[in-house]
Parts: sequence; structure tokens; C-alpha cells
Amino acid sequence: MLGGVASAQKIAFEEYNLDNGMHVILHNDSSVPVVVTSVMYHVGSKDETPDRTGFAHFFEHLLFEGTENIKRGEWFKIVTSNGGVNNANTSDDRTYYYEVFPSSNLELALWMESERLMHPVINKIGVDTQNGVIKEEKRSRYDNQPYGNIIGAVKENMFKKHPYRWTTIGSMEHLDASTLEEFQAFNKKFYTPNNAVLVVAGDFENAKAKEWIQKYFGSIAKGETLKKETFVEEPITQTIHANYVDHNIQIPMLIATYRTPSMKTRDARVLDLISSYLSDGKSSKLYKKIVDEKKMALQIDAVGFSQEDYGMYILYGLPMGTHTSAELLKEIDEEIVKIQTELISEKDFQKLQNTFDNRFVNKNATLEGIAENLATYYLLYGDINLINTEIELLHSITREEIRDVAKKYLNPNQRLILDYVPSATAPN
Amino acid sequence: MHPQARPQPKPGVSPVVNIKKPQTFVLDNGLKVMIVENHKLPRVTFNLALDNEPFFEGTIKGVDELCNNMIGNGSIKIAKDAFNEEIDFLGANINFGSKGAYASSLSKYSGRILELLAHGALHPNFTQEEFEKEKAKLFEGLKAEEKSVPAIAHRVVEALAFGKNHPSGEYMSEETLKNVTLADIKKNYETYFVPENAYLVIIGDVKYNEVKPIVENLFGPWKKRSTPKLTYPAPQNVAFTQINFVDVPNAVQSEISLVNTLNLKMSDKDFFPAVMATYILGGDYTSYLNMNLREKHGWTYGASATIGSGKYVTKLKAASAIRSAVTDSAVVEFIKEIKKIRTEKVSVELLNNVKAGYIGRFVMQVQKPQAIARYALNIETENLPTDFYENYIKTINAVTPDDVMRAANKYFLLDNTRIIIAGKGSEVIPGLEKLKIPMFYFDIYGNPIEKPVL
Repeated sequence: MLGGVASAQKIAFEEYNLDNGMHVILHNDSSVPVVVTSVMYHVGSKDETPDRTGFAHFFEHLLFEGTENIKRGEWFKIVTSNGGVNNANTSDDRTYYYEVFPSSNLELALWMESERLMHPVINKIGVDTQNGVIKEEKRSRYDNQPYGNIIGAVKENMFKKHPYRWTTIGSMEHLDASTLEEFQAFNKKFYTPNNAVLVVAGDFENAKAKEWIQKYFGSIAKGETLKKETFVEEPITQTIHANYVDHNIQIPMLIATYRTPSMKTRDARVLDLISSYLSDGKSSKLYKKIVDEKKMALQIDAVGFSQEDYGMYILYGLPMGTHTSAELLKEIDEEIVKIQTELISEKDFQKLQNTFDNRFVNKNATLEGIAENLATYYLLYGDINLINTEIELLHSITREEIRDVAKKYLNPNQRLILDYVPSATAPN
Repeated sequence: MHPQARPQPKPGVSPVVNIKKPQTFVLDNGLKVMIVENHKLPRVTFNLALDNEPFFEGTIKGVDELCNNMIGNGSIKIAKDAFNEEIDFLGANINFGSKGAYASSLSKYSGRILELLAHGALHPNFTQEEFEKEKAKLFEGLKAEEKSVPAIAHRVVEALAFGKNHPSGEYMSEETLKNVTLADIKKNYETYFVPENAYLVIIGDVKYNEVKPIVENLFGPWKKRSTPKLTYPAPQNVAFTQINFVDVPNAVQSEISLVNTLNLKMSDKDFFPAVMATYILGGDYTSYLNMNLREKHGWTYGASATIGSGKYVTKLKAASAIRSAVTDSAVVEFIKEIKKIRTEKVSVELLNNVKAGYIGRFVMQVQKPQAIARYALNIETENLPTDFYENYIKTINAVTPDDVMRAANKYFLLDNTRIIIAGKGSEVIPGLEKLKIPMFYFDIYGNPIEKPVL
């Protein structure tokens, strides 16, 4: 059965390096006349300094402003007028840019991405404008949304040394205080060919693509060799209690969060299985008991917040009526203790295998998804073959490991209990 | 390398577009089945869609949402826990609702998943216990959203634009939810969950010949019934442009929407000109609104305009979440940009860019299995000519700057627009008053009130 699913979707790819250190990955798929071009840079908010947070995300905005050959405001016009779509996103670990075009426009896409890397224009007008835009992004996405500041509140309590302690969107005060020279220096340091991977996926001729890649990216100068800093957190040995006041809510939320190891580790995958066991679907342990049978919560969920250096396992629930966060926590703890002391049933184990098989097939169902996964497995996991083999890794996890990993990471003294509460009065 | 040595590359030869059709058949009860075989991945999706008219729920508003949340928790033949357990065990997903159901599964389990979908959708088990539980959750959900500025803005926009006596304008409240009974749920299901306007779209790793008899077997017994044909008073646009203000003291931005209602069918001659006018006004990063409010002023994360289309009355909405301090200035700029598209002809260059974008996205979508199915469904549900998509590129290319301006004047009713603002009154009302636009005040449910004391 394992072979059946795994072999049903082998993602074929070719990879090589340019002389300047840029890594290139090509994936052919001619089933639709579309080509995805993307670049992932190994820079995220964890590469910022504590007094200049928000820089990595800021660049995601800034690098659409223009280049020496693409005038300010023209980037999107060029994409649209050539039938394409594009976007970018930033996490704590990396920044990702992509264009999707009809297959006739691969050369254009490569030119645009090389322009962004080779000579972006970083000037005062762009910085000032995007600074205003980002403040409104923060208000729209976080400050004006009920429960919008959960992740930020969790992170600042979960990490003491690691830059994961601040949010990707960062501090507006830091952006206000920064100089143009600081933005230019950040660009020079991190936006280099040797800190990036270029992916071309879809309907194209390999020889032609390679020729254009060499033509547009080959002459870009190599940047400094970066050494990623390591930040080691002390283990959490006593429950961290914290609270956060949200003016946009009426119902308090219970949040319990455990610090987990790098997403590259086997233990992180085991924790993914545990998360699914606890809260995926109506038959999952927590949903069925707390929401369906006991009617104590409007919602209960567990999410694995997987990252390059450390992850977080975040359990959250909204108590209903007169039920309290403490009651929810008691129910959650009972289920965790069961995982720590008993083996999960054979049937539940098989269910997890089926769930992850399904997820694996869907993960690479779109060309855009394949392009991003190729970049991620190469750049963050350091093993591009995982795009085809990760399912085998998941299948090799045993019931005993599930029990042992739960025992290792999910203890009450290793977690944050965050009371996310409404304000007593409206703000002034 | 000198910048001049890197000119922008010219596009290659555009790919040829082939529009495929799904294989289809119709059951005696009216259910139309569309199948798109695609064997690239070992998975299948099933989408049962009921294309019903919108209907008014009145004093029991919430009955349809409650019905939606109760369908598919087991069936009269399979108990809830066993039902949910089996779907999850197969690693599949099925979402049930009052307007259909959607499932995705590995192809090896697709037969059983389709069976479970049919069971859950056609033989629901509505119990008092589940009713009480889902109702309690909806009450709690209302409470959880009570202070959400985007949620308040959304509710008031719909209520004012369409009127509370219209299916598109009414909203659920604690009061209407309290009125709903289990009998109402059953009646709602019996009345509207019928095969008359139903479509079952199957995409993926299945064979037409194998799945057809299974569908006939599972959905053939679904009893033929018609939905009630009802009419509602046509929503009226306001006689003059006005600000409708809602005070939300916890707001950190102002949600601004400029709204008027309209009718626009996909088959109308004006359809593409109207859609393009909307796109130019607020469709993407380079739109008039976004370039002004975001890129020129930095007042917002983004501004957009959307126009509804289809068989029923719908609306034009230009909207943005704006920094509180510049709410009044933003209103001026909104008006300016809508005026611009009504009075200044778009340049041929800009229009050509927009057309190229539409055509490019079409070219990229058209051969994907989901698009093949969606286009076929649109032709059926929107009564489009069968060659609508064959002519798509040609139709788009034929739109002129005059067409765009005419459509903007016809649908963007600047002189009959409601400017609905949900924001922090104490910070923004004084500025808005200086605009000398008539201003009316509403509570968070869209009821008219006196100007709040700040």
C-alpha cells in the first residue's frame, strides 16, 4: 500500500549550481501550458536584530517597488500585461517570490526575478510608502481581527533567546527608526545568489531554460558567505503562565503551547501525527470528547507550527457558556496522558497512515505547490529528495514512538498556558 | 552588466487553447452529472452543488445555517460516530452543507466515500440532541464575533444595500436563532435539498463507465421535487450619495465601503465591460484605488472593488480598511477614483494590459480539470451560450474604452451610493462632517439611530 501511494506521484527534478552559488531546480510538467518561476531566499525574521524587527517582511514589499530596468509601479503592470500572476510571502525562516505565466513567458519571468536580485531600487519614497502600508497590514490582519494576535503572544513567551520570539510583521517603531542605509545593507547581505534557490516548474524546454538562467542570473556577483547563527533555548521546566488582552473579543481562549524541535527532526514528524490524532476531523480524540460529547467548547484545535530551528505545538480552545479554560485544559491533559502511557489503537494508527497518505498526494497537487515544496525541501530541510520520500519516513513511525515522543515533549511543566482574554472595558 | 544590456524579453508564441468538455449524463430526477477524468494523481473529488434561488428566512433567520451545520453528522442508516470515524479512517474529507456536499479522497477509497456522501446528504438524521448542540455553538459564535469590526461592517453593508426584508440583506441574531425549531430544520431540508437544480461534478482518477452506474444507484432514488418560486422586493438604491456611519469604539481602522445594487448577468452584453471597469477601479495592485490609497498614500494594506454577477440582484462594492486618522481623506479619494472611471476614458494601453491579464489567466486555467468542470457548470447555471468559452478571448479583445466607460456609468452609481463606514466614531466623525456629505448613523445591526454622543 505504501509503495502504491508513494510511486503514484514521483516528482522528477533536475538541480545544479551556477558559478555564483545560486542553486537551480527544474521540474517539467507539460500537462498545462503554465510555468512557475520562483526564488526562495534564506532570510526570514529570525535573521533580524532585536532592535530592527520586521525587516525581512518589509523586503517582500520593497522588492516590488522597482529595479534599474523596471520603473517604480511597473512590476505588476508587466506581470498582468503578459498574462501572469505573482506574489510573495515571508516567514521566520525564508522569503519567497513567485510568478505564474502562460508557458510563453518564461524568459520574461527569469528576467524579472534576476532584476529583483541584481539591481533593486531601494530608496526613500519606497521605504516611506511601504512603511505606511505595512502598518495598515498589521492593523487589518492582527489588531482589528478577533483573536488576531495569538501567534505573537505565544511566541514572545515561548522564546527567550531565539529571534522566533518576535513576529514576522515586526515592530513598527523599529521600522520607523531605521535608516535607508540599513535597508540597503540588509539587501546586500541577504539578497545574494548564493543565499537563494531558483525553481522553474511547468511546461518549458530544459535547454532553453538553462540558457536563459545563465544569461540572466549567471553574471550576478556572489555575495558574502553567510553563517546562520544558532540560538539555543533553555528547556522549559516550569509552566509559563501569561495572559494577553484582546479588545476585539468577548470569549476568552485557552492556549497551551509546547516547544518542539526543528521540523527537520524525526520527533517533529511524530508530533505531526500526534496533532492529527488529537484534533484532525470529527472523530479525533479532542474534538469528539470536548466539542461533541461534553459540549464544553465551541472549538478545539491543535496546530503544529513547524520551523527550521524550533517549532511550537499549539493547542487552543474556546470554552462554551459557563465552562472554563481550566476545564478544557483538564480534558486535554487526560488525552495527552493516555498517549503517554498507552499505545494508540491499531485502528487509530492505520487511520493516521491513511490521513498522511491523502495529505501527501494533495501536497503536490498543483504546480505552484510543487515549486514551493522543492524550494523548501532544498533550502530549509537540506534534502530535496524528501519531496518523494517523506511519506516513507512518516510510515516508519511506530506506535511506541508516538507514546515516547508524547512523553518527551508534552508534559505540563514544559508548556506555556496563555489566557487570551477580552478587555474589561472598551479602549479609549 | 549595464542596465541597458538587459532589455525586457519579448513573449514567446502563446500556447494554443483547447477547451475540453466533461462527460455528462442526467438522472430522471433532474440531477446533472459531470465527469472529468484525470489520472495524474490517485485522487478524486466529488462536488454536489444545489443551484437554488436565495430565499428569505425572516423570523427564523439562521435556520439554513443551522441545517447546514447539522447535515452529514451520520445518516438515518449509519450512526454519527461510526460515520465520522469511517470518513476519517479512510483519510478522506467530506464537507456537508445545506447547499450540497464536497468530498476528496484517494481514488482507492473513492467508491466508499461517494457512498458516504450520498448517505449523509440524502438521508440526514436530524436529532434534537444535535440540534441543541449546534444551536448553542451558533449562539457562542455570534458572541465571539460581536466586536469584530470587519464582521460588523459586512453585516451592515448587506442590510443597508439590500434591505432587511431581502434574502441578501437579512442577518442572523440571537433573537431569530432562538425562534428556530427542529421541525424548521427538517422543513428547510425537505424544501430546498432537492435534485431539481442539482449538479454532481466528479473530477479525478475515476472511469466514466465505472462511476456512472454507481451514481445512478446512489442518487437515482433521490425524490424529484421543485423548490418554491418566490419573489422579493427589488432593493432600491439611495436617492443621493450619503455616509452611513456605524460607531465601533474598539476599531483601530475604519472599514469603508461604497455600495450600490445592480443586476448583471454573465450573458449580458455589458458583462465583460463591467467586469473590466471594476478590475481597473479596484481589481489588482495597479488598480486606481490601490495605486491611490495604498501606493500613493500608504493609508491601507489594500483597496479593492468587486462587482457581483449572476441571476439575482447583486452589488458593486469598493472597499478598504483605512487608517482611522485619514478616514475622511480616503472617502474623498474613493469618490475621485469612481468619478474618474465614469468620466475619463481608459487608455488603450491600460485596457490592453487588463485584457492580457484576463486572457493569460484563462489560458493558464482552461486545461485544468477544475476549470473544465467549472466552465461547464457556469454554462448550465448561468444560461450561457454553449460557445461562451470558445469565444472568451475574442469577446474580451472586442471590449473598447467606450464600452468600459459606458458600463462604469451604468453600474457604478456614484450619485446613488451609500458610503458605509464602521470605525471609531470619536476619532473619525468630526473629519467626516467636514466633507458636507449627508451623514446618517446606524447601530451595529444597521438600525438607524441618532448621532452617538462622543
